Amino acid sequence: MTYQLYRNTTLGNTLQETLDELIQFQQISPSAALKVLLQFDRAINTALASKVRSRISFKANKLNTYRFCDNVWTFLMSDVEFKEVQEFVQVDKLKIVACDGRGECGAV
Amino acid sequence: MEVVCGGRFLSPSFSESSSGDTTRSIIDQSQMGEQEKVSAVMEEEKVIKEEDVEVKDPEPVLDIIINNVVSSFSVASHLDLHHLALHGNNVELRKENGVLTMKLRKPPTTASIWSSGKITCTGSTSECQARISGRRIARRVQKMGYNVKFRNFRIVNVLGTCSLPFAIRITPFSLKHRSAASYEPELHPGVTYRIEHPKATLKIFSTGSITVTAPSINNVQNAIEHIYPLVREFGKARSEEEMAEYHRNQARKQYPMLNIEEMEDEMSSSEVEDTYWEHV
Repeated sequence: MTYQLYRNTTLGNTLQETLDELIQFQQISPSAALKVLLQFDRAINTALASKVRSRISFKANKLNTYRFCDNVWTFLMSDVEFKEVQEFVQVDKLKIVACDGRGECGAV
Repeated sequence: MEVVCGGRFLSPSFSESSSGDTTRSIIDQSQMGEQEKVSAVMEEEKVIKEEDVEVKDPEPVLDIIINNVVSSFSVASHLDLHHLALHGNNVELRKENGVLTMKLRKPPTTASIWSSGKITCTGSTSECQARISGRRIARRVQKMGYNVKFRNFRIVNVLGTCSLPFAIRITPFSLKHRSAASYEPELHPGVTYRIEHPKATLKIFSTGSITVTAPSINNVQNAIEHIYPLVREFGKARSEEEMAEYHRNQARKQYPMLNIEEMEDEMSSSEVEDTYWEHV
């Protein structure tokens, strides 16, 4: 069983909306949609683990809250600055959800 | 008891009311004894000079620094640690230990929470601060929907340190106080000295540092007052370098904000850190 936390990304959400629509128009069965979603979980987990090479660093001004429960770390931080070589992105608030799992790690 | 500097320093514990005065007189006597002894033995001239300077020191005042106060209490209600871990802030749940740790920024505290409702708090620097942090932890638990009471609060342990203005010859010291002191250099570099009443355990190091663990702050102070004349007898002058460092440390403890050199150092180190992060 792979992590399902990437369903909550832009890619995952649009996929879910599309599948919902297809189910509504009775073009696919709900069980088929579920299979697609599971395949999506597997695919995105392996893809992020093995195919993504770019590295981004970030620095937060303040860590507001942290939490560790059921092997999941949750961090809430504010005034975060993302950096990729020359590019900067400034974010007011950031939530990180990080799971354990050999090579499977996620940020939402 | 006077608490200076945000409860971190129990400043002049020795110049306190009448008991403080008696202690001071004892110290003066013992210092005189030491002076005579040193001149009688006729050690190196330099050593005697240093000893003289030390005796003329107008304030034989020792700062006892309370580093940690451990307290425990009960909230008289069973807690669902999993629920607390999911909804609380700054919490860590280690299932294998069955303990939830919750931390506070102010006052800096780490609380260990068991599902039975027993809580221990560490990290305070005074007894009243320990109580405040305990209550804050309990309030946080209460806000997550538990019927919380504040029961059986007590201070479990206090850790204090004290740096004497002289080094100590610990081997002869441990030999003289065999019943109370144990010195096992292969196990621990300091002498462990136990006082039964009022209960306290001291670790005495050759550098002149003493750490005290006791069940209350008063016990820590009494233990230092008890041990001072005993170790004074085995005191030896420090080298000039060590003495300079001691004075620097003392100054830093007493005027943490006025020490400009220190602040500059800190600023530069944070700048270094910034540049480090930029490179990363």
